[in-house]
Amino acid sequence: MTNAMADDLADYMSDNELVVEPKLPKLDESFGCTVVISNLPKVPQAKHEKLKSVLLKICNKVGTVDLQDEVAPLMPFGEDGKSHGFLFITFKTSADAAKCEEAVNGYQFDKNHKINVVKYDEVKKLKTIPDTYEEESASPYEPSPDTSWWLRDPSQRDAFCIRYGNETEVHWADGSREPVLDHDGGDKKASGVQWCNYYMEWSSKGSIMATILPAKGVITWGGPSYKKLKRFSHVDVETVQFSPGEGYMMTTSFKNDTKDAIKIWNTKTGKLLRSFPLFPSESFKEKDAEKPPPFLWSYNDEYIARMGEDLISIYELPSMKLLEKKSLLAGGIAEFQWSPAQNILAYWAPEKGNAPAHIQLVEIPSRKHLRQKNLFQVSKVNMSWHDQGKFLGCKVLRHTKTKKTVYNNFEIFRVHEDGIPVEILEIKDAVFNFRWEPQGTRFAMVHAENRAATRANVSFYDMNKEVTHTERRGPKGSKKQVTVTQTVSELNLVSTLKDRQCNSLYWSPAGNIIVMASLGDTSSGSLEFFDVNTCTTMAVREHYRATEVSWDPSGRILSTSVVQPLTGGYFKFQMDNGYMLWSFQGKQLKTVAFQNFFQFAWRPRKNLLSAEKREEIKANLKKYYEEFDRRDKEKARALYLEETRGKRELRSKFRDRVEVLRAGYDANREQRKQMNDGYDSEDENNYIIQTANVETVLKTDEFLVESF
Amino acid sequence: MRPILLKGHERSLTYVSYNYDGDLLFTASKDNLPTVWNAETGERIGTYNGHQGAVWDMDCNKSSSRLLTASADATCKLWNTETGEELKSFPHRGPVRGVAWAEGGDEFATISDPFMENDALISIYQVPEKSPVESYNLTPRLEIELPKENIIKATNVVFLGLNSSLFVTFDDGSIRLYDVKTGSVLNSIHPHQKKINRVSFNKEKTLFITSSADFTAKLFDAVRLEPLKTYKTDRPVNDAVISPTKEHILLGGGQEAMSVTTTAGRAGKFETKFFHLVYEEEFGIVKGHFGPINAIAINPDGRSYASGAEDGYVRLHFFDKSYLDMEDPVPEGDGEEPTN
Repeated sequence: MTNAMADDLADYMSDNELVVEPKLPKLDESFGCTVVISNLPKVPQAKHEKLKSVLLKICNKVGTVDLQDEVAPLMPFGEDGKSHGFLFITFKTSADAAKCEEAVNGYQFDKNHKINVVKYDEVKKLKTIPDTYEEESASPYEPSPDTSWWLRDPSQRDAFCIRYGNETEVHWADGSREPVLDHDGGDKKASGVQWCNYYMEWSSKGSIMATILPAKGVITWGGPSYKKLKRFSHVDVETVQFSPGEGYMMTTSFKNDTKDAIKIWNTKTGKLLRSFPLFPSESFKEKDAEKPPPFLWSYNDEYIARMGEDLISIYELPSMKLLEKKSLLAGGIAEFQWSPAQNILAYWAPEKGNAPAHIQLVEIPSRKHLRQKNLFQVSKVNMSWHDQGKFLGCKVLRHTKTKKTVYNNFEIFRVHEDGIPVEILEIKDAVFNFRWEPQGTRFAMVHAENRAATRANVSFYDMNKEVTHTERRGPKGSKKQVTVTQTVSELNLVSTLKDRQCNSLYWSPAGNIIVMASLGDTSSGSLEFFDVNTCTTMAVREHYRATEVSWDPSGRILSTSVVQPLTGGYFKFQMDNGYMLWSFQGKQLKTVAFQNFFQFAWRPRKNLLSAEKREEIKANLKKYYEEFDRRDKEKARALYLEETRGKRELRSKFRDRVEVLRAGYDANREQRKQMNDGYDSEDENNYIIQTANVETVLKTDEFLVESF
Repeated sequence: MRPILLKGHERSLTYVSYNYDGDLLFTASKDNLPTVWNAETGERIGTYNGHQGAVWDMDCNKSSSRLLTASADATCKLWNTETGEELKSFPHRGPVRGVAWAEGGDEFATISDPFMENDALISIYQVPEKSPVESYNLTPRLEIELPKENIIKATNVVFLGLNSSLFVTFDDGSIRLYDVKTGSVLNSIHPHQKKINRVSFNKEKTLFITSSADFTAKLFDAVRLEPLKTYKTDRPVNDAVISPTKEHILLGGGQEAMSVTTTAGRAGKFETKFFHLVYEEEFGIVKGHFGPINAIAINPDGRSYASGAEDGYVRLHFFDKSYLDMEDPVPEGDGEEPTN
């Protein structure tokens, strides 16, 4: 090779050193096929072979042992020849090793030895764990968001959440001004997080907002910026329910009936307390596969209970252990309800054999039977507690002996009175709806001659009656008589409204006002706002095709909405989606339409004032009224200034422009005058102002005047 | 206040306007009788008899001495406003759509539709008030032919800029400015998607508002031809006027007469709508007509307005005190100091 040739080739030569490295097969250093069998008897050298052969026999039953180990498995021993009590066995495949681990682990080798089988790789991992424990540094304290901030809203507004399209928004409303957006999840959207793609749920006192993401579970949010509080993992979750005190929550998946279809959680810590299958027993499932019996919370977060067959299982919170380790026996139970104000259970059972149908009140945890009422010829009982637990109303659907005709009667328990007396009210008509007045003693019901009737009657009853009688007062012998008004416990009819288009009743949370609505497919969506104290209809309105009606917690605003279900029935409810807000007098405040509207939910707010305090406020209403009025005006003013700022700018800009144009026009005045032959139409002197008086005779009267 | 119903026309109204001083009200309709009314009492003063077709447009000169009418009978007639005497008739080659006096009243312009083989035309005639009527030339001083191939029709004509230019609107939604001497196009804008039905100027001719079939009315700076505001409605707009005393717009319209019966809904939407000039917000309506409103005019004193509709009636409205006393929804001043 000449130098010249080398130069020619120089360009093709690499400057790097030539590395000669043959492609060798890579040594597999993993021990996936090897298991460690430990907790063996420690045997002297003489017995080594015996032990090995026994173990090989066992191992060969579950898989194929590697040929080499077949002959001599590795069993380490000490200087004295005694084995250490463990041995290595390698299988042909890692699958066999896994099988061995599963099958042989826990095998009772002899009286004293239960053998352990662990994969060698697992054992190796143990080596990496440091011998000394190092304390983990505590993560810095992060205050959890203040979940009661909204209660301190200076404008005393109530909030509601709406779900439409892909949006979830919280708005403020106070019944006099436009609802104001509080939060729309913008921060979540910006960070690429979908914070709700199913329904949302407020906690019972409104502190927390829970959103359902069926693919993942439930997330709770709180604080002024709706920060994520906790995550509750539950695949295919459909509903979430909070306990009345918000301490606990329950998530349910109806889709797959596994052993953890229902999960009970601690709301604050996010800890799973216990999970349950959908049905308490297999036989229950067959009986009524459609609706599993619900878990119900007691009023003060102490218990949660579910009915089973002839029993009610009551669990204590937070341990979720069965109360006194045994269920409450309730023969033939069909349904139960907790009192909303006391730990009292009410349940009813239909007739069974010789036993009559009965309604039972049981006190918990004493399990004392407070009251039992036997009934005959019962088809169904609907129980409804008064919101303060004062009364329990039971609508009893009864049938005649032939079971051909049915009729209703009401059994009303006065729970707070001695001996719990029961009032009976007979109603011939079919009763559709029965509602207690919140914080009152009245109830209302919708009834009609037959179920198919398009027009119904609405009746109001009072559990108390005002009775007046005259009484002698003062010292003995005095004839001074005084009229005394007394409230006595006596069920009485207040009034009946005839011929109403109504199938649902919605009492205001403040009592007295009731909205009678006709909802559903065949109804017009009429709404009648009725004042029960004075028995006057304040307004009759309509929200066409309305599907839902709800009051805000204060009873100031009523919302009506047309929502479509998030699953199924899509086409049926596609039209007229949206919501309307009304004042409690029936004045329309707001109408909002959406293409797809799914949910409207007021943020619950518990009244924290005692009954006495409320009375006091009512007495001094005037004082408060002025104060609130003044603040309202101030707020309106501030809002107004805010809104008008943009308009002011527009206006001044426009006026400037007009001013410029006007100046241009005035500049041409002389020219214009010439064009009009010297006549200046701008000159006011060209106009003569004349005042004309016109007299019109309106009336002429003739009368005689007496002459003097 | 109850409006005065002016029952004089037998067919749908095409034009309603006050004279410069606001004491006379001129109306034209598809019957052949342009009419003049007492603007205060609603009394009919007289009619201008002579046309043989629908009258599309009228214009009265500043001193209210002479009146021009444009008619579908292919003539434009000059009248003595007071006596109703026909002074001169100017024959055209197609229906005359619009007519407008020049400043000073010695010239006027007409626009005419294409007819048979004749093009649409913009013509300027010379009729000096001081010269005898007999001396008036029936051939225009200037004729601007509108190209036939586009088949666009002129809908309104107005003299602008101290008779320096001619402002013409078209049924394709465009506006052009022509040089009155040469007939060349000075400027052209295309603010609407559909026909511009009417255009109406303020007294100083510094602002104008266009009413279009595209459901909007637009306010412009007349000097720079710049759009300032848009007033959106739910119906074709037939006419809109700028209030001379308030920052308000009055706007009338409705479905086209032919589609009224086929339109759903209880109301035909035949009200006069009131918009705020600056904020573009609708704040009131006046009902009454039972056909689309074709023409609206507001008295130069701002105290009354008249609307003429497809139903053949002119309604003369006098504003209530509450309207006249109405203040701007945003209080005057810079708004920093609360004014209670």
